[in-house]
Amino acid sequence: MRSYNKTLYALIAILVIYTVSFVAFIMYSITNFAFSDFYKRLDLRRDLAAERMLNGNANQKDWSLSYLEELNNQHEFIVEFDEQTDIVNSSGFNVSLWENVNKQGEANFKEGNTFYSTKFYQQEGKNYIVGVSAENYFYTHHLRYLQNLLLIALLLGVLFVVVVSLLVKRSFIKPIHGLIDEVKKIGSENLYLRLSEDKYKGVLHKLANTFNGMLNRVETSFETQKNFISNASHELNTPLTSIIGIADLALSKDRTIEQYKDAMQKIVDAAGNLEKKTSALLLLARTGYERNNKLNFKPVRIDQIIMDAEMTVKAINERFHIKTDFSMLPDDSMKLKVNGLAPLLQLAISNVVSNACKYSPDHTAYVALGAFENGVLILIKDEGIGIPEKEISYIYDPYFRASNTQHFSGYGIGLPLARNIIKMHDGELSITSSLGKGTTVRIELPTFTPI
Amino acid sequence: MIQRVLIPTDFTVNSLRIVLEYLENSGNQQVELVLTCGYNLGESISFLLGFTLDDHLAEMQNGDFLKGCEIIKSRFKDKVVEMYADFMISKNRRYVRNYLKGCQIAHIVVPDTFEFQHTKNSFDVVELLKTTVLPNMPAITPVCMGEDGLQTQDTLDGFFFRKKWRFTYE
Repeated sequence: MRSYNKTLYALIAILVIYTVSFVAFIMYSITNFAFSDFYKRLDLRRDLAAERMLNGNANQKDWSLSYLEELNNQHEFIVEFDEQTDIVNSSGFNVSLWENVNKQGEANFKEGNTFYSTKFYQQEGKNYIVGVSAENYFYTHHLRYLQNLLLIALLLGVLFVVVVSLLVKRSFIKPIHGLIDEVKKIGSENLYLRLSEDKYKGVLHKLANTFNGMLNRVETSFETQKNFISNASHELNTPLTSIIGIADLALSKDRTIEQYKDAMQKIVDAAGNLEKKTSALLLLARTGYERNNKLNFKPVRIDQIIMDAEMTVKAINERFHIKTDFSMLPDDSMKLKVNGLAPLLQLAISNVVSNACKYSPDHTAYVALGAFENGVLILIKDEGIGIPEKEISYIYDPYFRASNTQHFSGYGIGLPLARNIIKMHDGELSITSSLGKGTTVRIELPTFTPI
Repeated sequence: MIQRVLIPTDFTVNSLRIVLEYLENSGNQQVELVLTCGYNLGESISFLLGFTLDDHLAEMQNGDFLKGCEIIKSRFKDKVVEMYADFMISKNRRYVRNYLKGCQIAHIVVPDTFEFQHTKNSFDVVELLKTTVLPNMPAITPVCMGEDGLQTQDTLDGFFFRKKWRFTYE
């Protein structure tokens, strides 16, 4: 900021110097012109006076005035002097100015407001200086006026430059200060806050946008790390419960070998599921530690992931039904490829789908998939209890559970986790809900574009 | 030969269901779809001078509508060669004739039941095309919109889960 101020003051100084030199130049040029012009006019009158005094009739003074106007306070004078340049005779000449007179030729000089023009003449062995003096009306009046005008203009100009520069500086600095203040408010406890991009224009808008993008990544990473233990417990809980349940049931009484085999198979399946989840969670734990936050993303087919997620959900609870609408699948299967990690995406989608099943009286979730130009759209819809309108803004907060979910088991972890995973994949997860009628989760993920 | 088909629209996602119904129930003929909306330009000279089709279309088409169009294009990639929106700016009979002739419209799709959302300046193209009698009028193709109620909210949900949940996988 200090160097910014310095630059500004340097610019103001340059502008002021320029204005002052401009004014000085104008004043100098016009004064110079006024002087030389006036001396020319005096020279002409001096020559005429000399002609009249030395060659013509000295009393016939007015003949020249019919051709030339008389100047302000115009006086003619003639001085006779000897070889030692001492004045012998003078008429109408102020002897104190004798030093300024050139005794050999012409001289122009100024005393106060009176201008003098003199010339040396020799006649009949005598030396004469003939001269004319007059006041320069233009200099005394008009030039003074111009001088005052320029001074006032200069002062106003400098004032204008300074005020405008400071205003411009303020208008430049103010939004930056605003940006700084907004950034200062964001801390680890409120990472969800974003800079208001619409307030800024041009490059600052871009800056705010970039900063928000960075905050998105940081928040996702931070939340995933912060909630890792709860995420892990949440995800591992269900398969573990199912393993324990199957084992308990198998051990509750003596069974046939077939029944034990069947139970063991179920336990192996559940353990397999558990292993899948563990590897997905390990991938999640690595978020933020990989360069560019991209965990070796690979092109994966989203329809396959959705089908896998559905299998997972059904494996958890046999009462859950999932109805899938693939009628809008694109002709080109390349459009279904997204760049990401299959286990994570599966984790996210299965969380959302199992929520949809869990909160519906008929335990049915409707899943649809379509592809637009640059991405895929996944809709997961249910006809369940819905979310109260007032609470919809809090549903992404970890551990938050809507007020109408008391009769359902859960921890409020699945949806924030799913959202973070989608955000990690540069996608978007949004929810529309109507209380008592159902909820629709809309997931958009960018399509994989080969470089 | 590719045929150009006029489909009325009001730039809502729900209105794209007419497109879907038409595409699903027509043959394999390659088509170019012109989504047309009736728009009254009015009599203000400044508006007439300042009116540009592209700007106005950009204003009318929201993100979901455009995404919906893209989804349809991806779904019917081999069938839909091109798909774009346009305005009919007058109800004048000659204008309608010239519009249909100039655009070389081969078919006009008319839904049996659909309530278009009208804005201040829009007018009903379906009504206009139904009532205008012209020599060499393009063939009118009626589409049955079914009994599914339309979404109260104009979102992309309406695209899916139609016709008694027509599922491909469970």
